[in-house]
Amino acid sequence: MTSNRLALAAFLVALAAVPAFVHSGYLLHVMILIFLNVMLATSMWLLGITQLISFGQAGFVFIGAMTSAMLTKDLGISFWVALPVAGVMSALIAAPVGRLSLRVRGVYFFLVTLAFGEVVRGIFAYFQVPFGGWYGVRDIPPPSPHWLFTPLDKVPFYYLGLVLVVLTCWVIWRISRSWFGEVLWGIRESELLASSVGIDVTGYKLVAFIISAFVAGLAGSFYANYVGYISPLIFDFTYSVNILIFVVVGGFGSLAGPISGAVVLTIIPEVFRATGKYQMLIFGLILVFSMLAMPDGITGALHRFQLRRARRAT
Amino acid sequence: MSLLRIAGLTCRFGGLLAVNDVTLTVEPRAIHGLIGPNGAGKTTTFNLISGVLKPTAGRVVFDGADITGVPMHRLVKRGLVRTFQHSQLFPAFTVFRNVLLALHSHTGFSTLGGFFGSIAERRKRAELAHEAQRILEFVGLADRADHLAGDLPHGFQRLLQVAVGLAPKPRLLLLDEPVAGLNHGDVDRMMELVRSLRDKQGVTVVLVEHNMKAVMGVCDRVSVLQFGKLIAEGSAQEVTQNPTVIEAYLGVYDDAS
Repeated sequence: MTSNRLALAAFLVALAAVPAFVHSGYLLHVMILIFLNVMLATSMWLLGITQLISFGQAGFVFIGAMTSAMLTKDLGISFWVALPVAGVMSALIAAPVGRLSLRVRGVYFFLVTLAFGEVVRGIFAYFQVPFGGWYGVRDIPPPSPHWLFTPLDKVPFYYLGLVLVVLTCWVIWRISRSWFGEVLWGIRESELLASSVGIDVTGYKLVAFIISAFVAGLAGSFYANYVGYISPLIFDFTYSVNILIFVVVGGFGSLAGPISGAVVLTIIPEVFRATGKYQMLIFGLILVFSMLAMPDGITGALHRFQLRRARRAT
Repeated sequence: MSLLRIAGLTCRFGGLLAVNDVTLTVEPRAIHGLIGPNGAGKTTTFNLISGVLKPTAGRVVFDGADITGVPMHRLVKRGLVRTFQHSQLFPAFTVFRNVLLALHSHTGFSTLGGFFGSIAERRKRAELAHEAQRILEFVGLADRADHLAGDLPHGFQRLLQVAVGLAPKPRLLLLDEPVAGLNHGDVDRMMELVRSLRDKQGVTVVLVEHNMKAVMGVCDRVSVLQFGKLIAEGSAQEVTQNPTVIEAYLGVYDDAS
């Protein structure tokens, strides 16, 4: 076992121990939000390896959330069934959407995915039955068993979120290190060369897009049954942009990028919550300065710092 | 039977006829040169053969099968691989990783294959690593396997490009200006490599080139393009003595003016 693995294990144990020391519902809520955002950021990152950026991620989160909400609330199906179904639903819709939007390149791909997110929102907002229209869906039941998951106790949700985020990160890490991931990194380096050695570039991008949507759907399902309320006002364009910002600020270079980005950028607005109306102003300033100071993101800046120190040491 | 046959190949970009009714055949185990002044349509011809562009008219037949407009990544399995004029590499990868990924078509993985770091995948990877090492030794890059491709000197980048093109084990390799920007020593080394591709690996080579000395030294047959039209074809010797070719390259002295 390397020291890295030991450190990771210690970190996970520490995370598991948090509810034993932290009794503030608010702080646990922030932690749960971090888990959600890390899931979303890593899902975006997998697609981002191939230099694709989707502005429609909120659409897949919303589809997952709506699937889960309707299954658990209207049909009375258990959350534990609804969770994977929500992921699969997002993935199923991602297949044709990805197939179509990958026909265009560069900025047009952004626009098509952006439009997709808005279409999803529009459809859910337009149909009051069965989607609840602009009012959304409220009173989505928490997961079973009900004696464990009560709306007032955050601890079970904390552990649910922790398991989901650790699983997501592990799976995405394994994928990024597999041959499939190697191909994605190759596509990032040169699409032309990749296809000249027999790689079906569009096919690989499509699979990455579908996996990314699947994870977004899972996160949406968790969101719906944790918060208990979803609406088209939540999963709008800025929701997608936020996910993107997590990855950009964190850095695309490794999985640590989206994770650190999501953690830092979930905490910062909370720290400045007390400043009231200046919260977003400060957040924005921090974003601008972070992009100026760390163009390769947090992980990129750390990497460069380590390199410089190593050079000075020799 | 010829390995590659193109018939009546035409490509029009708006008002420009980039390639105009080109017909030529490439025999197996030949080194076939495609030369011509700048803008003659050489690279466009490559793009048409390799499926990067779809021709306006005409057919490309490879090994008896019509491959007109078949996308590049599907041609690799049939045994046709091309390289690019401007060094296309995976620059942030090591030299070794460049070649390893270029072996992709040997993995037999579908898009979903090799997904999760399974035991089968790891075994495959070890096998391919061996193969990648062998290819690097063949082109003479073995001692630089750990360097980043983007940091290599230009000459070695061109060698790596050939190594990457060789990795899928093509029967026909299209080399787009393999010696562009190389100095004399590197040109000789590259031409030596091209010759050994044919002699030791049995690969048929078509190369686009500007460097006349390189073309003359290595090609069995040369086709000359000008303004998208094939103006001459023959052995290197014949082509250099062809008055039309001399005119295309040097122009004619116009007495009247």
